[in-house]
Amino acid sequence: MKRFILGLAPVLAVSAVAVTGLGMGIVLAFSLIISAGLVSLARKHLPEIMRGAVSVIIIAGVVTLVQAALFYLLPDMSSSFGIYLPLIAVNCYIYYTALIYGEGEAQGSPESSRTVLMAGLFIFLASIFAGLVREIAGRGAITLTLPAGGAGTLDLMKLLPPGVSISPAAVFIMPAGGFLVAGLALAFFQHIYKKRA
Amino acid sequence: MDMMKIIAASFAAIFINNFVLDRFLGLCPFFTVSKKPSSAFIIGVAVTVMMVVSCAALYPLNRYVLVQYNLDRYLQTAVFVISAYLLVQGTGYLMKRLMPDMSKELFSYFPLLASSCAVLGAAFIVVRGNYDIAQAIVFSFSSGAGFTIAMIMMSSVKERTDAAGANGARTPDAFKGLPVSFISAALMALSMYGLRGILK
Repeated sequence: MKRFILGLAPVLAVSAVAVTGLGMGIVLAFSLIISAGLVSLARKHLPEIMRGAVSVIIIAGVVTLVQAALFYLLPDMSSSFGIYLPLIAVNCYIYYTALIYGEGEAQGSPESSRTVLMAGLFIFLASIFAGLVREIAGRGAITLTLPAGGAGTLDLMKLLPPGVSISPAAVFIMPAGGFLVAGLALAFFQHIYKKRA
Repeated sequence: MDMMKIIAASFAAIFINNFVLDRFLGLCPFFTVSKKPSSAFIIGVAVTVMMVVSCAALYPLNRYVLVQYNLDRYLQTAVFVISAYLLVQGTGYLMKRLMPDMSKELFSYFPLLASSCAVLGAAFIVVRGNYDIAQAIVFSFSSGAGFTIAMIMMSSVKERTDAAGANGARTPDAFKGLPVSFISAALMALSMYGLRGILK
């Protein structure tokens, strides 16, 4: 759990809007799984001293392809990610070293591929969760199509019964809200984990 | 660039757009920092050095090679990631050779910087924000200073949240460790957000 949270910077940064949070989750999980797969395949055939450099090159290549694909398929999404899109490369490298080097497991073993898949799934779920919580609590609306705040926005405030009014807590769409949601979610998981143990 | 602009730009980079608390860059060292403020300071210095070096090296590389030959859209990520990796290895090696008697602790963090969002993030911000070279250096140095300040604050907060308070108050079990660090970071981010009005 602890090691999963560390590479979440891009998710926290773009999850003030639910749909970009979701997009980042998919892109990050996809790049992580593909690059980890390729790196594990390549590593076995390389001498020890070249492994770090080669894995950096592979990860950078995968992220470049993902970036180009996103630029053509979803240009709005791609521009709302800003600098966090290229920084996915760094995150993949962090996950890769934390998950695989950190445990000293045999490369390409079922155990390590399961860990990578789990990490991908975790990133995906965490980004959906963070995006929804932050946008609903912070803006009282869910953006369905980009750009945020445009025509394709589902305004939840209109769904309230007449006479009831709630103003959204803007802190959730500020950077502080990202830390707050992540901290509360972590505390919840830690509570459950401790109870079970 | 006159003096007032430099001061405003570095104030913004240190506090308002703090690398950790506003831009979410460099979260890994921030949340795993030890309780010792001195080692937080050393990591901060290492990151600052690397940020300045990588901005100073990647800025001309982007401007005079990538943009010149229209390669920046496709190759910027790959070139930056790989060059940052090489720069970190190279700077670490050079510093070890030139200043062998400087503290060993500083060098032990260098390999980790290859995977630091802060180092690469600074380069991407500088390049995409159309900064000139002087602005780029001021920006990377003050962002590094902001990162160092955040690190020191976090390590001091950790010291307090880990120990029992004066009246025996403790951090609840569910919040021990990372969760309480995130909540403290949220409060720090909120206080930095409050400074936004100054530069208007």
